[in-house]
Amino acid sequence: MAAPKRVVAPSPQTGNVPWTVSHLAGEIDGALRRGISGPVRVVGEVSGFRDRTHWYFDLKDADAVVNCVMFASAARRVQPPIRDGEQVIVKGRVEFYSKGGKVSFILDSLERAGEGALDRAFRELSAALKSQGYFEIERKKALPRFPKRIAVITSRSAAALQDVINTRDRRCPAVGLVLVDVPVQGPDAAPSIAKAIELVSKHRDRLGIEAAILTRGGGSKEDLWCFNERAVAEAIFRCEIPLVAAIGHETDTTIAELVADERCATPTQAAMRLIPDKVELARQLDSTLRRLGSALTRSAQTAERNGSVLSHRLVAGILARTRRSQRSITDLELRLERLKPQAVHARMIARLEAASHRLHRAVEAAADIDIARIAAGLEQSVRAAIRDRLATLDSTDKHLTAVAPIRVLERGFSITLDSTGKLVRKIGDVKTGDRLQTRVADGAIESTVGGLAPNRKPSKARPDATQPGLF
Amino acid sequence: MAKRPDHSEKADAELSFEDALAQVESVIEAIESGEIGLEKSLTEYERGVRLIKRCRDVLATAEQRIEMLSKDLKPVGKGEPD
Repeated sequence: MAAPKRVVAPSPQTGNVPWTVSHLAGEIDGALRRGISGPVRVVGEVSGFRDRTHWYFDLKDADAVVNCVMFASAARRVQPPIRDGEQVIVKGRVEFYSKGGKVSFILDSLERAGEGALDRAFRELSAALKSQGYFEIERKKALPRFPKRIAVITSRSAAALQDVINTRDRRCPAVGLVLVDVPVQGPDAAPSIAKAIELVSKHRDRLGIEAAILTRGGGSKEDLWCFNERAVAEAIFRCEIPLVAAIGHETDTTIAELVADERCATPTQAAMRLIPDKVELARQLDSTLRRLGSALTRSAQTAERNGSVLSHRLVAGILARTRRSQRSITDLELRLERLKPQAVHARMIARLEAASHRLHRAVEAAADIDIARIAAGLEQSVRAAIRDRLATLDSTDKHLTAVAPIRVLERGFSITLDSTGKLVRKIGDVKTGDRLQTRVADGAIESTVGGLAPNRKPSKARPDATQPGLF
Repeated sequence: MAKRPDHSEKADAELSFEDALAQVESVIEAIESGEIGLEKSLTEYERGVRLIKRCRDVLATAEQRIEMLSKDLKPVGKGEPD
């Protein structure tokens, strides 16, 4: 119900009283409102565009022109501003502007028709940036494998931010995230985003930021437009840290993504590209530890083959020291476990332990082979030496037993043995009736004990007094 | 003997994950090349084990907070840690 005063019923002129100009204007306005009631949509080409807070331009086609006004409140929603020659579809009401005597089309909204200015602006800017080398693969920075901290440049209310956080929590909570809250659509978006990128780049060392994610969820072409602005492209181009961009849906391509060091389809993918999977990393560490162990083992074996004199001791040293390393790794594992008792850690630790054991065994085996060889050699030489000495002893013994007693017997002494072959030294060794054998120089005499006659004065100190000085 | 990079335990303990891993790779290469003696191989091996431990320490770092960059460029915690 705008301007009800002017919406007057048709009042045919009566009598000779002339209308005032104002009255006529009111009549024209009323006629227009009645005739073209409600908002209408019109397609045409922009001409004579003037931005005076409010927008003023002509909408024309081949045969006609209509004045258009778009108030600032509505014009703000159109990004980027329109230009002459663009085909647009506008929606609004027709009014008679009585002060200017003109019919005006007051626009509520404006959209670009077909492949309009947005596409052209995109094409033009991307062509310009391409010629300046903005998209060159060679200038793109490699992404860090394990950034300690990542800046996330997006709106704090965006679903994209939550996707990034969730991915971080899942893959590697040790990676820090710093949110840089910026508007991601509207006229303030592009300068804010550009400034955020510049600040993060400039203060990267102080903030400890090693990479950045620029992201936003899906939206209309106009919503995403800020990511096609030159200011954003330049900020990304000058950014000193690797930047991954994921803007809108996969089918949308923005200039920001073309300049970025890497483009991803979704915020989650961008986060995955920068945030390592700690399970994967732990696996990699295991294999590195294995390689390290086998390198050392091979090195020890080579030295061994080359006959290094010192290598035995070294291999033993390797054994001892790898045991110590093993112990300290176990300590670390315990600490890890206390820190993070989740299943993932348990698996990591199990793998680490297995790897450590394998490493340990490998080194130990290398050392064992070596020591076994030395021991075998040593044993052989000791055995040989013992054999030699035994042989010598044996012949000496034979000589003694064979030669010495015979000489004694030849001198008239004899040796008496009981029935079990034991030497008879005193009368207590035998009893009456025992069988005895007495050995003399040329044979043996068999006899039976007829009786026992002890000496009158037995002496404990000299029990063999009857046979003194045998040898 | 052109330059001697700092391979002390302290220096190793401050390496980033990536740098530490790169150092282990060069340790493995040095041992595998056979150009350094067995004695040196052993000390290099120990350094490699130490660097791997350093990497595991980095992996095991406690969960980081989500910070917000304030207007004066100071990262501020978004809520207290759990």
